[in-house]
Amino acid sequence: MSYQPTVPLDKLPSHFISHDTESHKKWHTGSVTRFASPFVDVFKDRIDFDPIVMAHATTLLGFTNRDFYESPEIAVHCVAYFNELFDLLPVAHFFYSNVFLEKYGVKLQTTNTLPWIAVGDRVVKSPEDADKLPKFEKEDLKPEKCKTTELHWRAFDYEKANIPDMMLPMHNVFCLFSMAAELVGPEKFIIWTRKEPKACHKVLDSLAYTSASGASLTADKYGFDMMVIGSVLANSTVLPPKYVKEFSFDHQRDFVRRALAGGGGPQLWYHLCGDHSRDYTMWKDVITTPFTVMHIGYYGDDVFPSDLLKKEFGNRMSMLAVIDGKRMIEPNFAWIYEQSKKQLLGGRDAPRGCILGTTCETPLITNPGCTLAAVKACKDYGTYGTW
Amino acid sequence: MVMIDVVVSKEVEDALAQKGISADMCKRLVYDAEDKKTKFVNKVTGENLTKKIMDNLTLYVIYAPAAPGAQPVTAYVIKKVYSHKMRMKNLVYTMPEEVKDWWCVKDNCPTVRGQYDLEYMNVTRMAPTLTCPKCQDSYVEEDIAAKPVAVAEMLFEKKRA
Ligand SMILES: [Zn+2]
Ligand SMILES: [Zn+2]
Repeated sequence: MSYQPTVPLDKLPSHFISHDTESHKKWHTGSVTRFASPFVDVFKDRIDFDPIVMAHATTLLGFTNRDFYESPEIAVHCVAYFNELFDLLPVAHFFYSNVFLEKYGVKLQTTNTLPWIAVGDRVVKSPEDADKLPKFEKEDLKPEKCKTTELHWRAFDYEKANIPDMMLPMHNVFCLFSMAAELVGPEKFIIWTRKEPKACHKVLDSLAYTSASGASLTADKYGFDMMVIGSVLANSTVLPPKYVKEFSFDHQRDFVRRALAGGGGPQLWYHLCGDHSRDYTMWKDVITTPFTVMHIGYYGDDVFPSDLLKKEFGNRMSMLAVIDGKRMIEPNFAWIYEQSKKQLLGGRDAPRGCILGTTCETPLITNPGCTLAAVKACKDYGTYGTW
Repeated sequence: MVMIDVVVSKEVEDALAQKGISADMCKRLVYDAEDKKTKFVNKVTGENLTKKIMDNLTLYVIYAPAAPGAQPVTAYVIKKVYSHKMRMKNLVYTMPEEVKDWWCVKDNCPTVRGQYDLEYMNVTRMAPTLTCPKCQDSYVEEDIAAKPVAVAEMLFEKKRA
C-alpha cells in the first residue's frame, strides 16, 4: 500500500502557527521551568503530565497514523502542537519501537493503525544464525545506510529548522529482549532462554552493541541524546526475575555503559513496560546519571503504585508516576482524574522529583477528555511536597 | 631516595591554568599518590589515576611512566587532567559483577562500577564511578565528568541562578 503524507512536507510548516508568536513564547518559557523542576529541585508551578504521545498526536490533529511513522516531520510538529494544546512538555519527541531491525534484514511496515511492525520470515532461524549476527558500527548506521537513523534525523533536523525551541534529540533503545524476539520469533526466543541461552546472548549482544553505536552517532551530530531504555516483553508475566536479570537487565547495562562512553545521554529514561511486580527491585541498581527517570507500568494487573516507586527509587533518581494507559480511551474522565490524584499524592514529594505519565504510550484513540483530566489533576494535586 | 621526575606538557599546563591550578601542585599530587598508594592503576593501559578534592572542584590526574616497562620508574608523564565541581557525597551502591580494568593499588584488587551521590548548589544526584570494593575509594571517569556531570553543573547553575 503506497503512502502519501496528508500534507506535502514542504508545505507543512505553513500549516502551523509560528513559534515566534508571543503567546507561544510565554507558554514555552513556563513549560521549560516546569519540565526542568524534577531535575534541578526548583519546584515551581506543578508536576508535569507526559502521556507519551505518539501517533495519537497526528490522528487527533487530523493527520494519520502512517504520517507519524513515515513522515517524522509531521510527527514532531504535531507532538509540539499537541503539547502546547494540553499544556504538557516543552519538547517534541520522536521515536518508535523495532529500531535498527531493518539492518538485520527484517521487513518492517506500518498500517493505518499500527506502528512499524515486523512482517515476513524470521531472520534468525537457528543458534548458528545467531552466531553470525553482525554488530553494526556508527559508519553502518549513517542515514544513507540506515532507515532508523534517517527517520530520526529527519525529525530532529525538521525541529532544528522549524521549531528549534522544542527540539529534542533522542535515541530509543526500545527493548533489546523484544527486538531479539522479533528476530527469532517470540515463542521460540522465550524457549531459547532455557534451551539455547548462549544463542540468546549472542543476539542480545549484537543488538546492544548496534544500539550503542546508534546512540553515539546521534550524539556526535546533535551534541547529546536522551536515551530511552526499555524492558517491555522482558517482564514479570513472561519471565522469572532471574531471567529478566540475565536477558534484559544485564544487556541494558552493557548498552548504557557503551553508549555513555560513546557520548550518548546524559539523560536516561528507563521504561519498564507491563508487569514488573516480581523483578522491580533489581532495577534499583541500574546505571544512573544525574538525569535519570524510572518509569514502571504495572504491578500485576494494577498500575505500579507511586508510593512504592518513591520508596524504592525516590532517593536514587527522578520518577514517573503512572495512570493506566488502557483506560485513556474511555469517556470516563472522573476515573482518570481520581487515579491521577491518587498517584500524584503518592509520588509528589519524591526527593528527586516526580512526573505523571501513562503506563506506556497513550493509545492511538486516546480520548482528549482523559488527557485534560490528568492535566487538571496535576493542577489540583501536583504540587511538590507540602508547599 | 631517587627523585622521580614528573613531566607536565604545555597542553596539560594550560588545562590546569584554566582550573586555577599550578603545574607544581599537580606534580605534588602525583608524588603523593605514589607515596601513599592513593591511586588506581589500569592493568590494560598501565596508566595511573589519582584525585584531589579541593574547595571548589575535584581534580583527576591520569599519568603513566615516561618509559613504559622500564624499572625502576624514573619519570612520569601527565597524560590528562579533568575535574568536576559537584562534590562527592557518599557511595550509594556498587555493581560487584561490573569489574573494571582499573585496580586499587592500596588494596591490590580490581575496582567495580559504583554509583555515587554528588552534590552541587544544594542538589544531590547520582553518577557512575569506579569504586574499590574494599576501601570504597571512588573516582568519576573522564567521560562521565565531561558529559553527565558537566551538564548537571551547567543546568543547576542556570536554573538556580
Ligand atoms: Zn511501553
Ligand atoms: Zn581500595
